Amino acid sequence: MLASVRPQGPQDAPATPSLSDHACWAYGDDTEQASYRSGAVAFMADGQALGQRLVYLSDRRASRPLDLSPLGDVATMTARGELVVHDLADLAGDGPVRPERQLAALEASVDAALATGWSGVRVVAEVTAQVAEPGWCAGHVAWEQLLDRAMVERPLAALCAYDERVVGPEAARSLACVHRFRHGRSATFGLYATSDGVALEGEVDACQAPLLDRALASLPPLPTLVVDAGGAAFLDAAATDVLTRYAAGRRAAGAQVCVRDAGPALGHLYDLLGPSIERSLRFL
Amino acid sequence: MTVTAAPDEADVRKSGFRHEALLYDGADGLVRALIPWITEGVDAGDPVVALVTARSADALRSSLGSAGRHVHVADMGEVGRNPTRIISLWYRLAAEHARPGHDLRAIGEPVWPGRSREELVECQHHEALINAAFADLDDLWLICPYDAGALTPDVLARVGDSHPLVDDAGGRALCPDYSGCPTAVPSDPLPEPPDGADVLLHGAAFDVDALPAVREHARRHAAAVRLAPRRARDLVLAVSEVASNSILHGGGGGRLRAWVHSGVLVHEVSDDGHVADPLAGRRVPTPRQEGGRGLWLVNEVCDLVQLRSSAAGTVVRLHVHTTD
Repeated sequence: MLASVRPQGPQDAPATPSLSDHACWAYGDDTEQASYRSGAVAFMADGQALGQRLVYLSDRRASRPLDLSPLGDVATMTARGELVVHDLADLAGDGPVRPERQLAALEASVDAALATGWSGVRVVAEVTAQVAEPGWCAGHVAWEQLLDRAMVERPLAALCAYDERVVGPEAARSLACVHRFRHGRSATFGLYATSDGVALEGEVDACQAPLLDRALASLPPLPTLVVDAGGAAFLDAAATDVLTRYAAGRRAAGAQVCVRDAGPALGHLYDLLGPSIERSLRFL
Repeated sequence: MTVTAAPDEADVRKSGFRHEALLYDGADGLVRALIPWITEGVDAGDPVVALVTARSADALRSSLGSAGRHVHVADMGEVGRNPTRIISLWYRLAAEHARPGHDLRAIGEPVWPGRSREELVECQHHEALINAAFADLDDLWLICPYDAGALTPDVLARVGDSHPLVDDAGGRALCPDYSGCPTAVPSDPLPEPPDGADVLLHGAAFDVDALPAVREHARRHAAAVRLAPRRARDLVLAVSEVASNSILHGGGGGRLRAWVHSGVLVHEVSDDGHVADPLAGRRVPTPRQEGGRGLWLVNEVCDLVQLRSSAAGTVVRLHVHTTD
């Protein structure tokens, strides 16, 4: 069997942590779980160094709570408002995430943190139970995309973790591809928010095109969406068809989809495909 | 020779589409045979399109003079280098040039001296497939010139297999060797790489998780033979498209190998699937259809594509010249 290679494009962590990093972590066996447990604490430590208030949403139904002691004395941190901890199991029964309500709560928490002198909020959330509930995954992905857009302008960072053995590979890929930073076996591409649209990076072939289709379909609608394709290392006919079909649908709704930094590959492919695809993209 | 109906031609024309081979002798012979037919078409307002060799194009243009501005001429050596893209090219040209109430007069010369053995096999299959591809195009009149003075007897002997009508020095006649429209993709096995081929990758299995690796291998092979960046991108695209088809339609995976021989880089993808449609990859996709563009795109960007398929499995070979 051909040895796997890392697809061109996906990153698992930023070169330099920022106030708005959005990451996901898919874990499986014990080794991967151990890696997640130390990686998630390191993510929190990055936020601590940046002066962010830390929020940890554990879920005892899915995994043991993280050991946050490497960050300092948990009781002291909690008392001074540096650390907030909740267990999602205690909030269970509320149904699937309600995006607008949840976003409002998060934005309010960022405002509150800023008002008390923190530089923002950094969240680690164990989302396995949210994603694994039958019928909840698509809604959760859409929520992640809404959150992703909000994070572009706000000092809010988040890492969502899930057990791939429980949520399944399809859900794991659906979640992974809407995060800029991705740990674990995951999608070969990412579609994540930028200030004026989304960045499409990585490799999308005919096997991954349905995943891109779903990720585009659940994006919050913008009147003009700029797709930054500078990091799109590979697109094939199916991927281009998905993109142009999405753009045609947005055009029918009175919106526009533009592509920036298409690079010679996408431009050439768009020309080659000619009238066999919707001619719906505007290249900046 | 003259432009008159051959005996029993009405039977052949039942479908409306007319497919004739023209055996000519040299540029002068081509001009003598075709100019009256072209001129008749131009005078009647019929659109005329010629995909012919550069030499044939020069000869026709010289003879037509100013009337040549009514004839669309392209170099088949460029646009039809890969025989498997010619049918979709004709579909596009027919859509572009067709005129209601008029025949589209088309000249297609896919075979010339110097075509490799593999190319000739694909040309012969292409010619046979044309009968199926255009059966519904009532207003298409396609003449395929073959230079009888320059092509070898074995090539000329196969012309009648795929053309219901043949026009040679003795006149136009129904061809007794015509074997009708193919109903399946060819299944004869492809020969093993020749002795002396530089094998870049021995057979390696791949699945969906290994697709990035398939592309990385193709990139490395392209770099090894110093393909220009655009050709390298086309190659990676083509290999990926075929490998994706193996995963989606060929049982979830396939096998990849690659070699270089005589200035040609060949990638072969095989799988356990079966391509049943003889016109797969030869129709122009429409914006409405979801999927089904991969094989067509592969035919557009490669210098030669060989597809063999049966219930026992499918093999696709993609050829790219290393010296262009």
